[in-house]
Amino acid sequence: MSKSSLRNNGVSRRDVLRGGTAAALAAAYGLRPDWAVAAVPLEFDGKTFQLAAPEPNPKRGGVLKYGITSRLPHFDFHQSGTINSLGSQGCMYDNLVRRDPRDSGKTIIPDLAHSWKISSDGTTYTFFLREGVHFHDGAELTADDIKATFDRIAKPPQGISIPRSVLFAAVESITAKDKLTVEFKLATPRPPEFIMSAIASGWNGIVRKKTLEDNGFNLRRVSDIPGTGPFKSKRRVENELWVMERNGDYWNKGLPYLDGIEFYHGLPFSPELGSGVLSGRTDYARIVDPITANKAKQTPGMSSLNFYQSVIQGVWPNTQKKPFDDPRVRRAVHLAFDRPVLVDVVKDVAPMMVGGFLYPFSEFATPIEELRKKVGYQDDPTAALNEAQSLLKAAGYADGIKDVDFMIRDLPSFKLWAQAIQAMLQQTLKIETKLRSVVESVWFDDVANGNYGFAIGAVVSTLLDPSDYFNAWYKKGGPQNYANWDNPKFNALLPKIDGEIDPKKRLVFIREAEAIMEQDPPVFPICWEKINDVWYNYVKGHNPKDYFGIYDVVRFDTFWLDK
Amino acid sequence: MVGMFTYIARRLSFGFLTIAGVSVVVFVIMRVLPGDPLIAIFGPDGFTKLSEAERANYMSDLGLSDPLWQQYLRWIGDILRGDLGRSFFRSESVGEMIARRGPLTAEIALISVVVSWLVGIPVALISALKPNSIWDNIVRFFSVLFLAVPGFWFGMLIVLGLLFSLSYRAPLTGASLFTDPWSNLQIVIGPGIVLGLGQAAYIARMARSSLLEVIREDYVRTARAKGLPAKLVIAMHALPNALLPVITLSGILLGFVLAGSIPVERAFGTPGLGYAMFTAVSERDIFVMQNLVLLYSCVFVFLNVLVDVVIAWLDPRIRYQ
Repeated sequence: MSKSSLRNNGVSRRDVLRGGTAAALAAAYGLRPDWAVAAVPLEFDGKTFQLAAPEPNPKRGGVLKYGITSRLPHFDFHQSGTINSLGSQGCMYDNLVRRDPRDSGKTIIPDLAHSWKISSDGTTYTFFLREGVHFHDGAELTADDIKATFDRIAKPPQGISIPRSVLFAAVESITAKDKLTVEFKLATPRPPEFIMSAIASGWNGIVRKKTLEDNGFNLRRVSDIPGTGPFKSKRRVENELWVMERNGDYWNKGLPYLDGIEFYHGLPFSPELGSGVLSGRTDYARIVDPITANKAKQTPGMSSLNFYQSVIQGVWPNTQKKPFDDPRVRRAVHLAFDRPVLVDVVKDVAPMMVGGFLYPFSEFATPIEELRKKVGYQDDPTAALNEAQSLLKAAGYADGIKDVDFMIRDLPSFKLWAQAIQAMLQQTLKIETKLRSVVESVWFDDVANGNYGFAIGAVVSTLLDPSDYFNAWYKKGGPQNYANWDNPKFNALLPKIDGEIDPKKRLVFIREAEAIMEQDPPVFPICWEKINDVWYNYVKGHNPKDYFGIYDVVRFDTFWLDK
Repeated sequence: MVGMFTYIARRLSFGFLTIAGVSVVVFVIMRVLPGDPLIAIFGPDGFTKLSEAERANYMSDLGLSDPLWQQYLRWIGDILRGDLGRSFFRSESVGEMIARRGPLTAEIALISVVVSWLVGIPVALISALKPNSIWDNIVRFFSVLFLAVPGFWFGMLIVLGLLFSLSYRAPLTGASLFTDPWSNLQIVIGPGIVLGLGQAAYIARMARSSLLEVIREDYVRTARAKGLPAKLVIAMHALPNALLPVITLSGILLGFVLAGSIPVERAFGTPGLGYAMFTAVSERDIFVMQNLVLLYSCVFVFLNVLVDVVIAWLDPRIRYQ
C-alpha cells in the first residue's frame, strides 16, 4: 500500500485546538477538539483490502431491529434528499469508494474500487474495480455500471433531478477504460478530498446500467433496485417495516455479520421511535429526542450519544426588501442573536451546537478560540449589542423596525426559537416581528415568492467541504440561497475556493469568504444540528461518535450482535 | 313493508347526495390548499434544486396541471371503476392501503362502541335510578372528565405510563386479527378503550336523561302498579324505550370515532387509517387525503342510514310518519 499527498496540510483543527483553553472553549460550544478529516492519498493500492468489524471475534448471526424514519418518497435514492430513503435503503448498495465506518467515516477507504490513482494535476481519477462482484439479481458488476451510475448523477437526463449533481459539475467525462477500470476526467482541477468525498457520499451507491436503461433512467417506482450491497430486500410494508436479508454472495468475505435487518419506521424525535427502543422493540434507534437519549444513558445496558449532523438552522432575511436589503441591518440582527441561549431553548427537543456560517467543527471554520474573540460570539454581549445598535442607527432605524413578517416552519424547535428571537430582537433592537407558522410546503412557496421578512428553517449539505454548501446556500442563485443574497465579492471568491487545490491557499480564501459573511450576513445562523442515537450495548461494530451527518455510514456490514 | 322500502330508498338518496357534495368540497379544498406536493416527493433540499421546467413537468405527470373539472371527473371515474388511486409518491395504492390498515381502525371503532356501551349504560342506570346520590355524583364526575380530556392526551399518558413503569409498548407494526391475534389485540386495545371511554361519557349522559324521562311515563307507572319487580320494569319496559336515542347517538359517535382515531392512533403509534390520514395531511398527499376523506364520509353516511333503518325497525311510529 502506498500513500502520497498533493499537499502539506499544515493547518488542521487538531493543531489549532491543541491545548487546555481551546479544549475548554470547544467543550463549551459542544465541540470535540480531536475532530479532523483524514487526507486522501493520491494513490491507493488496496487489492487485498477487506473490511472487518473493529472489535476482535465478532459473532455471526441474528437480526438487528433498527428504528429510523423510513417514509420513502420513492425508491430512486439518487433522486432523493431525505434520510427516509437512505437510512434503510443504503445497506443494499455499495459505493465506488466509501467512508470507513470504524473511524466514524473520517477516512475514505476502498469499496467496489479496491484501488485508485489521482493524477498529479488533479484532473484524472482512475478507479480499479474488484473482480467477481455480483448484483443481487446475479449480474456481474462492470465498469459500465459505474459509468452509467455516475453519468446519471453528474448529468441527469431530462426529467431526472438529482440533488448531488452539482458536486460533479467539474466532471467532463466518465469512461470505462476496460471491464474493471473507470476514469473520471475533470475539466478543471478540484481538491481531491472534495471529489473523493463526493464519490464516497452514501447517496452515490452503484446501480446496474441495465436497470437504469430498462426503466428509462427513472427508478422512482422500482421497489427493489438491485445493488451489490451486503443486504437484500426481503419484505416491505409501506410506512411500517422493511426487512432485509443477508447477501450470502457479498464480495467482502465474512461480511455482513447479521442475518438480516428489520427497519422499523418512526418519525424523527417521535414518541414511537423513542418508546420502540426503550421498550426493547428495537435494538437501535436513530434521531431520537433528547429525553429518550437521557433515559437510555441512565438505563443499564443501553448507550446514547450525539454526533454532528450536516444541517444548519437559521433565519433567512429577505434581502430583496427593505430594510433587510441593507447589510448593516442584517449584521445588527446577526449580532443580536444570543446563540448559547438559543441552543438552550431547544435542549429538550433536539441537540444543537453554536456556530457561525461554516460547520463549526470543521477544519475550514475559524477556530473556536478565535471565533470567541469576535464581536457577536463573546460571552459578554455588550460590545455586540452596542455595535448592533450603532449599525441600526446608521442605517436610519434608531427607533427600531415594526411589523416584520416572521415565517416559521411548523416544527417544535422552530416555534421555540422564533419566540425567543422575537423577544431578543424586541428587547435589544426594538425590532417587532409578527410570527406566522406555516406547513413546510407553504414555507418553501413563500420563500420562493419572496413573501416573508424573516424565514426560520434549516438546510442540509452533502459534504463538510465548503465548496458544496457555499455554492448551494450562499452563491447568487444557489438553490438554497433562500435570502436571495448577492455579494459580488463572495461570488468572485467562490471559483477560487472551488478550484484551489493547495489547502493553505484555499483556507485563506475560505476565511475571506467567512469574513465577508460576518459583515454582510446571508443568513442569521442560529446553531448547528446534532443527532441522538440510542442502542443496546450488545449492538457492536459501529462507531457513531464522530459521524458527520447520517448519510455516509448506512451500510451495516460491520454491525454484529453480542448476544 | 313498502313504506319501509320507501323510507330506506329516501335515506339512501339523501346519503348519495351528501357524498356527492362532500366529494366536490373535498376535491376543491385539496386543490386550493397552499403548498407544493413536490416538496414531499423530493424533500426540501431536492425540491429547491428542481428547475421551474422540471417542477412543471412533474406536476403535469401527476395530473395536477389539468383544469380542475377534468381532474375531478377523472377522479370520480376512477372511483366508479373501483380504482381508489395511488399515492403519488408511494408504491402502494390507496385501495391496498385501506385493505391493510382499515381492519385495524375498524376493530378500534368496534371496541370503542362495545366499551362505550359496557361503561355508559351501567353508569346511566346508576345515575338515573339513584339521582343525586354519591354514586350519581361520582359517575357524573368521571363522565364529564372523559368528555373533557382529549383522547390523544389520554392515549399519550397510557403509552408513557406503560413505557416507564413496565418498559412496555405495543408492537410497532400492524398485525392481523386472524394470523397474529395477540399482537393485534395489543395494538387495538389501547386506542379502542381511550375512544370508548370518551364515547361512554356521551352514552351515559344521553341514556341517563332518556331513562329519567321514560321512567316517569304512564306505561312504566302502570307496570309498577301491576306489581312487577322494579328491576323487571326497568329492564323490560323502561330501558328498551330509553335506548332508542342512545342507538342514534351511538351510530353518530361511531362515525366520529373515525375522525377521533386520527390523533389517538397518532398518540399510540397505531398503524391504522387514522395514522395514514395524519401522514397524508402532513405530506400533502392529495390523492390519499381526498380518497380517505371520501371513504370516511361514505362510512359516516352509511352508518347514519343504518341507524335510521334500525330505529325505524324498532320504532314503528317513525316509518309510519
